Amino acid sequence: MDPLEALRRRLQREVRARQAAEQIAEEKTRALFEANQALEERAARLTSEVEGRTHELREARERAASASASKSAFIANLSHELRTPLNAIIGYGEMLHEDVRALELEDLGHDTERILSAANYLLVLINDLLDLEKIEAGQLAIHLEEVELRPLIASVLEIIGPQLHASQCELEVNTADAAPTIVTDSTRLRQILHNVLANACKFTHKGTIHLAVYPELRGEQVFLIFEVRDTGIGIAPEHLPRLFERFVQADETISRRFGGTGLGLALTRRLCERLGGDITAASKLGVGSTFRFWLPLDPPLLHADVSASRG
Amino acid sequence: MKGVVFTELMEMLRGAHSMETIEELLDACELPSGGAYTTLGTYDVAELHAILDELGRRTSADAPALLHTFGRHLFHAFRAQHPRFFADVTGTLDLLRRVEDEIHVEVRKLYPEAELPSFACSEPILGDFILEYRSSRGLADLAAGLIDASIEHHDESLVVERRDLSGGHNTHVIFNLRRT
Repeated sequence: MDPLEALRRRLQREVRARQAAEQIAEEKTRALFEANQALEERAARLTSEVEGRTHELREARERAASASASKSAFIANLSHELRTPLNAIIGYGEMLHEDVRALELEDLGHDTERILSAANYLLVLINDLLDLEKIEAGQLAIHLEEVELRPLIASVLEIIGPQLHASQCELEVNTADAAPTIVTDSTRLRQILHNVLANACKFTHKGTIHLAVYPELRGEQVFLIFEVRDTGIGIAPEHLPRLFERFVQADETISRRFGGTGLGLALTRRLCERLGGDITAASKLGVGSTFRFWLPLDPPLLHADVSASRG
Repeated sequence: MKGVVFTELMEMLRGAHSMETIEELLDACELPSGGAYTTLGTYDVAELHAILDELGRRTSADAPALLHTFGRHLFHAFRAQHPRFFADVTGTLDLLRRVEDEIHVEVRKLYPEAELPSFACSEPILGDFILEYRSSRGLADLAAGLIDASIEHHDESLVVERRDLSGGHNTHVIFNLRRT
């Protein structure tokens, strides 16, 4: 084969190779383009699906929020309406009780006492419900003032006295001298402390309830810690996480055995939070429970709606 | 078989033979592809055997020796084409371990349809490194050429022993690499 012929053949071969390569490259490019298009379509479909779902979820959330708000408004109105006749029952009940006592009708006296105590309990429940709804609606006003601790604790212990006596419990109180006053809402603090102590009384029979109050530095803020430790029936570990949710009691049998609606601890937590603190619980079934709540010793003005009256 | 094997075969021929000889050789082979190879294409392994057989007839070299020579050529070609991969390779045993675990993994990503030989390595027992080659194409001589070129390149004192377990078909061969 002469060199020219060899060169011609080689050139032909190279041209064919180039054409084949171009064809393969073309096919691969087309396949890539089609794959890319399919991917883009899939991405668009997924995006639209996600948008659709997000829209549905948003609507569902709005519906739920609106339903919850109407329900809260209904409960608030109803509670308010219930309070008026209940106050009349209590007022006239007290008058009746005094008359019965004046007439020395002892048997009837026991009955009127029971009517009064049931009516007062009903009032507490309605007030708790109303407070809880107010907090959830962001309408609970807080009045900050400098509160002396010892008189406040003494007043709560006086109210809790009969319950303590009924459950045959010993109460030990230990308050640190380091913090004699706290800037907070005295009514709400009294309510929180009463709820926690009443709870301890309710679940402790012939035991000891220990109340300790002491300041503690957390970060850059000083908090006042209230610790209520009892030797009561305790709470099972699986019930602890939902303890502070509304309408939840540790165990369904509790409302049957001990009464209560499951509002108390939910309200207590909301009140603690509203005052700039919180509450936790630790417990061992059959050994006892410890509830610890804390409030800032000298809080900055909590919210815009706070009306502060210090000193 | 991937086109790169054929384009490299052409390169090897061009390095050793005149243009006239190559064209006559390809003409005599009557290849379905006409020898118009590109790295993008895939060609029948029979074309590789046809070219090497024809080359053997013209140079009176035997087919195993030609495949071995081509294996050596491929080692250097791959090294030139993939410098980054080879920069990490510390020696022949390291390279052989990576064939199955790295090279073939990457090749399959690019060419899912590629039919690749299997290179199973055993860790050295009593100093021996055992490589088990399996391929329906029976190109153990080409593998041997690659291994020898690598040993030379890395300047290693390794002796390679071969045992064909496929009755001379070169489809299942044990390579025993021993340090001396």
